Amino acid sequence: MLGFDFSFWIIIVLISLIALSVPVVIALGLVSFFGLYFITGNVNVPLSLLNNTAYGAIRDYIFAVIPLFVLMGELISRSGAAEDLYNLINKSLKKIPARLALATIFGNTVFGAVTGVSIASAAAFSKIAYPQMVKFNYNKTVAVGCIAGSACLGMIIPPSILMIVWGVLTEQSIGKLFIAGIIPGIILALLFAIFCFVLAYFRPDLFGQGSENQALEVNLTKRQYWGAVGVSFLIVLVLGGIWFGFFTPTEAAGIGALFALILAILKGVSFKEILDSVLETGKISAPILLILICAQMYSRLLAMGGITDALTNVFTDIGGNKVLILFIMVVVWFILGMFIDSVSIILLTVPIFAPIANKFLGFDPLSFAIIGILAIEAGLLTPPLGLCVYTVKGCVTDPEVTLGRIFYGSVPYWILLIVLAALIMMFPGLASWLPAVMTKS
Amino acid sequence: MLIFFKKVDSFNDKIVQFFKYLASFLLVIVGLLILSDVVLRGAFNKPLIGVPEIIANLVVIIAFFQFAYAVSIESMLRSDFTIEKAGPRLKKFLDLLSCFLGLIFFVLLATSSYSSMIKSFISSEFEGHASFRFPTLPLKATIFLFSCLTAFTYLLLIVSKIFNLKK
Repeated sequence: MLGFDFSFWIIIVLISLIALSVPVVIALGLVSFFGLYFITGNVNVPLSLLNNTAYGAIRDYIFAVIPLFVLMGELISRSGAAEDLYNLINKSLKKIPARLALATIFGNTVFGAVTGVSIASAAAFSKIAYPQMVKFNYNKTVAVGCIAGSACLGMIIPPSILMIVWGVLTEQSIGKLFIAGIIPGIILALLFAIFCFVLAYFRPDLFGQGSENQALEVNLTKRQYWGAVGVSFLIVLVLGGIWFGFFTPTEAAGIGALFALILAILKGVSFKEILDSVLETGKISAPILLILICAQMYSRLLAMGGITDALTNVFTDIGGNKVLILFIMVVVWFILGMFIDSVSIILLTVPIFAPIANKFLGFDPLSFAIIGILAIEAGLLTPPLGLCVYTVKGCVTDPEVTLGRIFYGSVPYWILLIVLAALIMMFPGLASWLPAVMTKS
Repeated sequence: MLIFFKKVDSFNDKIVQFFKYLASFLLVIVGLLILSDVVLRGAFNKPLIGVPEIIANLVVIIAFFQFAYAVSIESMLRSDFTIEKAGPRLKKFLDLLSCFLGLIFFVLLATSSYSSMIKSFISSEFEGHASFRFPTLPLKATIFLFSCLTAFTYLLLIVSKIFNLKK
């Protein structure tokens, strides 16, 4: 146990390496290795730990869940199902103000239930919803803000890669974490929808004066109907299967991926595109799996170096106020979210924050996970490096849509994310009630 | 020298690409194995013996098969707010620093896994339970060999960046 000084230098070196654009996983792996060497004074100890970690850290049935859920989302994205969903919801929202914005939000809500990555949602809806919104004279800032903001629903609505990584790091049930995200996800979608509806009521000029309702008649082909129905069935299959205990999350992911493959073939996705989805899955999931290997080394460093205890003492010294400590954690997540990706933030902070929140503050672990994911997602919409914002910018070719415009349009959405995090802090049952019901049933 | 580098780089790229495709194929196998297991268990109450163990090992193999590919296309997650604002010389330095540290990490990983692989080979080590046992060598060899391949890919990246050879 080396205490505060050691913790301080470890954190400084880590932040410096990350600031110098060293891949987070390499920074963590090396800091953990040399930190453990510093503690023990024997290079064989970190070498042996590295070997054991590489062999054992991800050698578990549960880790297949990551590539399989990523594959499921990739196949569904390429099948055009997001567009089918958007059109179906758009058709059913006739005569409602901000119809296209609401279709984007609810489309993202449903799409979020089959993809675990926000960026996938942001890319899909930039191409589908933005041209429609521009066609019906939506203010461009409002349009892109709505697309970037509602893409965050993908990470809070299960299945979510962030929840999987969080569950693995904190040794929590991934199935329960998925279920814990359902109510906050629905509340978030409703908050976004209410915001758009109210804004459209008071400022109809921002939403094309309702021209969409006079002019827009959506006709769906049979294939589009079946696409939307197929995605809905997939959601019921995956989440229902986990909820009723028919499948473990890994089984649900495997069956979901194969069902998505069938859906993609039925929707006419070419063999080349299917192969591309599988390759893209590898590109996304390999770094995440490497992160999980280094995460175990990092956890060992935190334990052997007494870093969690040292930071717990810091929090105790500032008064031990539960709300204040949670507030500090949320601020740290929010700030980190401006600079680095969500998985890396979870990896860096959760092994330190989760024990403090659960053991020291007595906070419900499921609610704490959802608060953390919301705060980190809020950072994805803020400058200088909100990833969702950059994705929208990359997909929208309109030269009038600047990064500043998307950041500005996203402000209400990240505020609502933080509002929901605060609501769960006050009422943890919003996240923990449904998993408790699941356990009883 | 340049021709030699290009030949080595092209050969390495072919190996990396081959294992990228093999990993994708294995991923589909994982999905099919899970489906068969669930169907056989649900319909006939006869789950496939050893599926969890096979999948657990395949996850590690799939991951290690893809690391060199992730490195070659530079898709390791990193924060790029410094690099985006940096001038060309600083950018090159930061890129080289990342590659150099990546090389060190994978050399350490290869070093740490070497003796364990040899031990597994000499003692014909097996794992598992009575109804399903499997050798540990394939997995340990995968970890060692693909850590070496990833380290080598980092080395090629370093050379290409130092001499501005477009990959």
